[in-house]
Order: sequence, then structure tokens, then C-alpha cells
Amino acid sequence: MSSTARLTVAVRSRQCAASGGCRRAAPTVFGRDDHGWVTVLDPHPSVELLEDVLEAYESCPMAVIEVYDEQGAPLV
Amino acid sequence: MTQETALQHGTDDAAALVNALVTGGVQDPYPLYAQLRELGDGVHWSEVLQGHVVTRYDDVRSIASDHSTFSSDVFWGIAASAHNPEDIEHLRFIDIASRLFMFADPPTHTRIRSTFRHAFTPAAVGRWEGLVGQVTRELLGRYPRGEEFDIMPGFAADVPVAVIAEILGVPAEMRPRFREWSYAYASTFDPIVQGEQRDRAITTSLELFDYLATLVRERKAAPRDDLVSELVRTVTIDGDVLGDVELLAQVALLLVAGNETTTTLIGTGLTLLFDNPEALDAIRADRSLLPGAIEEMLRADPPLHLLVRTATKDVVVGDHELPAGSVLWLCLPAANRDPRRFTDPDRFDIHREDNKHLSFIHGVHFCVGAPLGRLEGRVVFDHILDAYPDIRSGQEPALRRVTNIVARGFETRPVVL
Repeated sequence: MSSTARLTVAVRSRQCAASGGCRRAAPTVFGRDDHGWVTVLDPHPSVELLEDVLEAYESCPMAVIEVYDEQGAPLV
Repeated sequence: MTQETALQHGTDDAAALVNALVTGGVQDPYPLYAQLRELGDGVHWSEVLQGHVVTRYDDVRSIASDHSTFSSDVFWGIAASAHNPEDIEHLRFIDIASRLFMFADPPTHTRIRSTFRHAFTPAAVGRWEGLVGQVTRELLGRYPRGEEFDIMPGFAADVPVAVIAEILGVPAEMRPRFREWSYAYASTFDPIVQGEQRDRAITTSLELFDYLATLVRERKAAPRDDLVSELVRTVTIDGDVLGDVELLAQVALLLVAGNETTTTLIGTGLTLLFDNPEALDAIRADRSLLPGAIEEMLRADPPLHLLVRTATKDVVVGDHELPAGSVLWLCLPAANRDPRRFTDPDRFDIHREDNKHLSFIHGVHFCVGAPLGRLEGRVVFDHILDAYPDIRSGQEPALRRVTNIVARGFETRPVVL
């Protein structure tokens, strides 16, 4: 993947528990609504953010984050 | 491990250090943690614990991240599960105590945890800020100014019990009983509490369980604006609701995991501030420093020192090749002061950036009550400094408990308000 390649990030927000770990790990990718539930700010972040996005995935107690590479293959 | 690598890693030294750590009597464990972390690969066998103690940040964090390789389903292997199978009370106790979701892996863990999804959101926790402040003021007001007293038993222990009692919807007059029950239940996790003492702790814990069972039934029948009502109606990820016993076990877990840890934070936090007067001065002048200071208190001296995982397959941890079934003791305070991860790790730095300590652990078991713990820390210290800006250490020494290797907080913390 070149550095311009994009990941795809999705969340199952109905299962979010608003613990905020994803926002701390990747603040440009994950946000929150007024209630604290996760929102995706950037559904196609650069692969340069892969480490942060994977950390967000690991940080989620509810495992609601999905990460895919440019070809759509799941990375987690 | 082979003979050769055993020598290379100084296993004899490590064994002596681990033994000193585990067999009790250590007032300050931090020098031992540092030596163990820097010796060999930082992974050391403990004969007493029948497992390896893992001390480095990266190792602890990657083990915590990988819940399928490192299982939390360890209840039946730890002291908390000890019981007499002939004793019907013991069996009733164990049936409930074994269901705590901290000892479950996904998907069971995810299902139970999903019940808490509304419980500790920023909005929910924000609602409790006034309550925590009120409880703090009420309890602090009992002490005279200018006289030395020990803040641990009367204040530090009462704050979290009063707060969780209010949050759960337990009436104020029940608080003393509730505190007694919570402590008895917590003591069933302490390997040192055995024999008749454990029998008594189990009997008392069952009173707690019975009380919580009634609470759950009542809130199911007539919901109120409290946490138990929220939990009984929250649908799990699987679309069902938790059974009564399953739910009351998790409510009991909130007590055992939330009370003593918050008490410990108050004692270690005060001690760190007394030992670092420039930090205390800075916070006094600028309360916006408090959240960072609370994180640093949690990093420098975490309430929980050890967490257990078991390997579900053959693994490599540090330089150790370990077979499936191996037990790993994650040493959070050692990891939190790993110089590979934190600059100047023994320094108490309330301005520390990127403070990703492991005190609430990492991954799917990240502390469900962390937002409440953080709130309590912030509000308690804020109110202490408002009402008693000149608070200082007493003359008597502050002493850590030395009989419990998992929780080494201060047993006494003399202060003058």
C-alpha cells in the first residue's frame, strides 16, 4: 500500500458503551455525539493512521470497531 | 526455560525478588518492581503464584490486547473460588461470585458488558458530579481543623461507599451495613483470608447478595431513576436482558471493584501531593490541572497491582516460551513505570503528556467504572482543596497494607486539615 492508500473504518454504534478509548487513540477518526456515543469523523483515514486506528480497535471494550484495508479485506 | 537461559536471566536473583514481593511484609514494593522489570526480560516465574509475573509495559499491554490468546476466565484458579463443596452456603456464594464479567471472555463478556452501555456514559457520570461533591463535603465536615487524624478509615473509605450506594439507590440509613457487606465481599478475593474468617466473609457476602437480589426485583417491578433500574432494562448485545442472578453478580462487582480502589486513590493521591509540594501548590492555584494530576496519581501508584490471565495456546512472552495453560500475572505498577514507555518514570509529573498508563488495564476489560473513578478523584481533591487549602501530612507515618499483594494502598494516611 502506498502512503496515499486509505483504510475503511466502520462502527456498530448501537453497541457502543461510550468509554471514549477510540477517541483518545485516534482523535481525527473517531468522535462522539451529544450522548457520548461513537461517531466516525473520517471513514477513510490514511494508512499512516493504521497504528492509531488499530489501537482504537484494541481499546474498545465492546469491540464495535471494524477496520478494512484498501481492498476491503478486514484487518481485525 | 532451559538451564542456559535460566542462568543468563539471573533466575535465582529474580526468584528471590519475586518471593520477597509475594510473601508479604514489603512496605514499598516499587524498588522490587523496578529490579524485576530490568532483570532479564522482565518476565519472572513465581513459585508461590504458580505463574509468571510480567513487568514491562509493552508485554502487559499486548497481553491485555489479545483476549483470545490470554484468557480472563481464571476465576476457578484463584483464591476467590475456594469453597467447601459440601457447604450449601458456600455453593450458593460461589454460584453468584463465579459470574463476574471480569472473569469472562468474549462473547460472554461482551454480552454482560453491553448491559452497562448506558451506565457510565459522560452524561450519566456528569449527573453524579453534584452527588460526589455533596458526599465529600458532608463527610469532610465531620473533622476538626488543626488536629491530626487518619483520613483512611473514616473519609477515604466512606466516600466511595456513600457514592455507589446513592447511585444504586440504596437508602442512606443502609450505608454502614452496605460498607460492611462490601468489605466482607472484597475480602473473599484476598488469599490471606481463610478458614473461619472466610466462612464469615461468605456469610456476610450472601447478605449483600440477598439485599441486591431484592433491589433488582424491586427495580424491575417499579423502575426509578437509578443505576439498578438502568441495568435491569438495558438490553444486551444479544437482544435479551440479564437474568436476576447474573445481574446481581455484576452489581456486586461494581462494589468490590469500585470501593477499595477509590479509597486507595484518595490515600495514594494525598501522599503523592504531600511528597511533591510543588505539584500541590500548582493544583491549588489552578484546578484545571486536576484531571492530569489524577491520571498521574493512577499511573504512579495504581490501586490494583496484579491482574491474572491464562494462555489459551503456546505463547512467547518476553524471551519465555510458555505452554498453553500458563498463568500470567500482569504487574500494572511495574509497567506504569517502565522507562521504555515513560520519560523519567519515577517522577510524579502532573503535566505528563501521553499518559497512557495501564491502571484501568487496556482492551476489552478496560475498567467499566473508570469514568466514575476519575470523577470521584477529581471532585474529592477539588473539594478538599477548596475547604482545606492548607491540608498537610500528619506526623504519624503513612503505612501501606502489606498483607495483600494485589492491593497495596495506604492503610493509614495521617493528615491535618
